[in-house]
Amino acid sequence: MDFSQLTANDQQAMEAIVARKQMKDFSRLFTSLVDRCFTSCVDDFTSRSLTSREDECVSKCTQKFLKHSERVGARFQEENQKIAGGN
Amino acid sequence: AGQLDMITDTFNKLVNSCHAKCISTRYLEADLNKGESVCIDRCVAKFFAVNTKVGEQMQQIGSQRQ
Repeated sequence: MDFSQLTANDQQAMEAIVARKQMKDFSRLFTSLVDRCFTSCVDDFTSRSLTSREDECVSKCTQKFLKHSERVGARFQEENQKIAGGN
Repeated sequence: AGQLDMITDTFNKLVNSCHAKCISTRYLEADLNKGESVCIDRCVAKFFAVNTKVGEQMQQIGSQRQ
């Protein structure tokens, strides 16, 4: 988003809003990822600690989701640029 | 800020939808495989197409009501 047309005060205000949203988004990502990977990976309740299979699954789940999100972000940007550019 | 909310909302929905449709929850590996990558690319494109189509049809409904 282009804030260069706003006054310095407005730019600062917008930057604060964006920073706050990014923080909120990060914590939302964290809790949703915990939920997602717990649901998909953990099903062995014969002990209190994670089995090595569950442990590896959670690692892979987290990493995969982050890579997935990154790729979606790249495609998302491309699509938005198409719309903005007016193909 | 309202627009920013809408965009991040759309993005989050996109990430979740395409994950459900494209990523196996068996988590056999940490990296995206080729099939998943291709699926993600197509998923995003289709999501946008649906977005556009729904928007068009709602505009139609809106103008019919007038």
